[in-house]
Amino acid sequence: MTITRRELLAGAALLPAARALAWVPERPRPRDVADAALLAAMQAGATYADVRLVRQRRQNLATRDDHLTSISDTDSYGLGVRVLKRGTWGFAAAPEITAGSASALARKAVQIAEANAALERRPVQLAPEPPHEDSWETPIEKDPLRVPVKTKVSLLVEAAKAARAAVPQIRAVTGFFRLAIEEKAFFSSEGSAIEQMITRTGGGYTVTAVEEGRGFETRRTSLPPRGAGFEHVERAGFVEQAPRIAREALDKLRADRVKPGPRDLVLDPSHLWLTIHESLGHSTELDRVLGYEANFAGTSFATADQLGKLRYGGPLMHVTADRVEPGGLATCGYDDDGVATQRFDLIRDGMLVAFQTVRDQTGLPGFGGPRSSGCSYADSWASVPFQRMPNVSLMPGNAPLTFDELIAQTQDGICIMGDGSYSIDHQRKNFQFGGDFFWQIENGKLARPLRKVAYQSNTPEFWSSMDAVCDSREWRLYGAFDDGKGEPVQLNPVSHGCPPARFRKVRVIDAGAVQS
Amino acid sequence: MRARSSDLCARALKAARSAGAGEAAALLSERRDGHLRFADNGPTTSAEVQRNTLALSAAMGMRHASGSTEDLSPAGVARLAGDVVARARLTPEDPEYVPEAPPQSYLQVPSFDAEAASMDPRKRAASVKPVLDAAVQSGLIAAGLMRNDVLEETRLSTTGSSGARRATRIELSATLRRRDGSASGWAGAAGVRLSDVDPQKIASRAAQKANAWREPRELPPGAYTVVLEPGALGALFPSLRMSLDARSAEEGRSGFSAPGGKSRVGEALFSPAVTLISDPQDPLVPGTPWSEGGLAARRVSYVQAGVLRELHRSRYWAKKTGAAPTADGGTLRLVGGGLSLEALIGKVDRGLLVTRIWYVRMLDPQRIGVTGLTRDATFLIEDGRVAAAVKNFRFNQSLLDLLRDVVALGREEVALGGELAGGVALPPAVVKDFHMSSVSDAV
Repeated sequence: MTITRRELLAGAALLPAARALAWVPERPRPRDVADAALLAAMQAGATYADVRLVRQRRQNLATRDDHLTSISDTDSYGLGVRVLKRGTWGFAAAPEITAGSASALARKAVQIAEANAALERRPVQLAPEPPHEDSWETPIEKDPLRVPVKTKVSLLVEAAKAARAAVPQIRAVTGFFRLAIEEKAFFSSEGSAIEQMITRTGGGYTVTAVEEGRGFETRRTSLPPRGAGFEHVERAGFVEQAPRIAREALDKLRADRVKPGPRDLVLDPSHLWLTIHESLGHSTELDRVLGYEANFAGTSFATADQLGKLRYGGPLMHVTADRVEPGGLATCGYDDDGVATQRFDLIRDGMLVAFQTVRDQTGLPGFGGPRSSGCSYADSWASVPFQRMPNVSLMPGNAPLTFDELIAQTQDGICIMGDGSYSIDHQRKNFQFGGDFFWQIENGKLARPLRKVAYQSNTPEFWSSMDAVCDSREWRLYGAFDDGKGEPVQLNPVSHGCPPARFRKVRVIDAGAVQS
Repeated sequence: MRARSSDLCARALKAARSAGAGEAAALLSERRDGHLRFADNGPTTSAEVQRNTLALSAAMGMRHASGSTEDLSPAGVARLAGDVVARARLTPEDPEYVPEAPPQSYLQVPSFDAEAASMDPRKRAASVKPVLDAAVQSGLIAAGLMRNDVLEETRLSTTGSSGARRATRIELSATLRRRDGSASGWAGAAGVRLSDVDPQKIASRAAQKANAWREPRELPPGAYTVVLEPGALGALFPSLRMSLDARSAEEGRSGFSAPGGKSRVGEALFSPAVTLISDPQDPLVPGTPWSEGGLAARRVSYVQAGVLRELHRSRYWAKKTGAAPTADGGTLRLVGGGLSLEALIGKVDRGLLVTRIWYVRMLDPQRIGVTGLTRDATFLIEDGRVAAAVKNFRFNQSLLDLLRDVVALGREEVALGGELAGGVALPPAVVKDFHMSSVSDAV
């Protein structure tokens, strides 16, 4: 009888240590490799060590109009060893998967920790976490890497043809798929042995309309990447939507430019997710609050002493963090510190109630322990795990309210769909966001498209202006593959859910006027 | 070229041929990266990482695919070749595919420093110590990064081209903040050679900015003459580089588009002070010896004395338009005017000194308009001197206008900071009418 990979993993849930790493194509057994590294680290004086064996397979595919322009498959498999000695971290990684290499990496990681220990001011302490022997995988229906290339290309090419057939002014349709499977095993000196397989699927296309004298405008599909298989893309209706997307690109090109000034905004989830990410997700990361990102990604206006005191918005505002939401890009069973993932409140009734944390922040202001909230992630075997954003989402309102009802209740405003230009200061307060498509709302109706819309605000002022939040029927999950943070920079996939919401009297600018 | 690397590439090409590839190219990259990150006046993360990646592209007729692996065993190489060729076979024809270039002769690039390549954990710690000591002595808190990367690459193709390069890069940057969070100063340096980075100088410059940026006053938004430090100017360059593309310009989709399917090449768009080049043998920012499809990289002059001379033309677009493709080495240099930063400040009656720029994003591609923020320490200049600390700003600015409004340029250095990838040499610049849109309280 042939045992499928899925069955193997199901078995691993019962006997994880014995079944772990069924995906690894060759010997030696990963458990043996990890044991060699852990032993060498402890013999060299480490007080803690963990080992990650990570295999990442990715396919990136791009099309232009009626043809494929690039396809690239990468297969990266390696070993990272992290140790603590004298309260200082050291990390070493290499692609050789042997017991000998693992031992050498462990010794090198210890040497690095020793070299830096003289600089140490505050010895690292780890928050307690019980050892876990377990496995987890993204539930999928179709392995995205096993879907034939022709099927993938056909989806994008047919959509491009439909877009160009519907609107002659469409000058280019560029499409893409980004498909990734991350398989990893985590072993620690505390006894954890965890295997995970995380699948992520994203794709879409951009149409560009050009008219002499008017210039050009683009419109994109709004399919978010997800922790899902290829079924996520197949259900998106790429081809069926193409004529509408093409018409909207032309409508946008021919639309009037926005009149600047304070305006009421109705923000669709396809847009609002990014505002949540930048203003709420990043400002509640404890490593920023503590100054660990001061040299690159920045700090936060939310300081540790404001926990439980800082008001982000009104009572309608309930924001959660999680790594358990089905379909979330940051969703998994365990973080890269070996901490079981969870859901927790960040902002309740508009008030800051928690920061995102990892194990080595024990005892620091804002940690909120005793356990870590499970926000550690490394973007490859060659990267050092550190604090990364979980899925951060705005919860739906309790009162019944649909998108159509919200528009009907808005006399004069702008509805923004899709994400566009985005920028926020390094303390996550002053921000400016564009969008992908804009509607003028007049007398409770989406009256006509607008062009070159952006809005400026700051985080507490903006969220305090939110006066309506749609209910759970309108809640949608969006997100992005590539949230950059850290030095050397690492990319974190993360999702954000929200319903449509309305914001009063936000400063809108004409993005086409440089003096705006 | 090192024999082992060359043999491995040759083995991959042979396997690809055996699997049915009409042509193929192999690139072996062997990296050794080390870093020491610090914050709160102590180390945070620190690593040494070896990465060996074999990338293979293969084509049969107009069908093509590429892939990479880190499994360099004979079985791993064979598996990569088999997978890539099989995928190419199943791929629809690409009418834009241009075959690998005929045999090329590659330039030698001055991109390796043995001293930089010999960095180890103890030397990294020793480089960071002066920064941490300076912070403690000044009552400031330091965060930053010391990193050193060593890269060896070998490229072989079935058309007969072969090339190799070695490159080192050293980078140290630090942000020093006042303990109460009321001021912040950044400084950094990068280069090929260990001597390009002076920890004492970086620590002292960052501390000086943090100490000088006290009680910043709020100025109104509006158009200001600005002095942009190289890192600040560098943060704007990814958006410009993205727009320097012939195809999007000639298809009407770019800030360099002209009516009738033409581009603005040949027009005097910018200040005569502006000359923008890419030179693979640039001693400050050496590039790669090869370009797209294995073409030998050469010196390219994109802007000469304010006149747009060339836009990057891919091999496909070159073939379609009957022009020569652009083969640069992936770097850019805005040629400087030789003045120091202090001398540039001395030329400004009233303006702003912008030391760092952050989170730049395209706002209006038709004008190459971008938005972003000043960061860490911004100062008012009056009568040719730094007169006061001022609060940061958000700006909305057309880069076409910015290069038109360049008044003077200083001495080039490797630009570092923001989200800029390596490989850009820029001078500090004086620019008039830079549009500040709103005040940012961020420190």
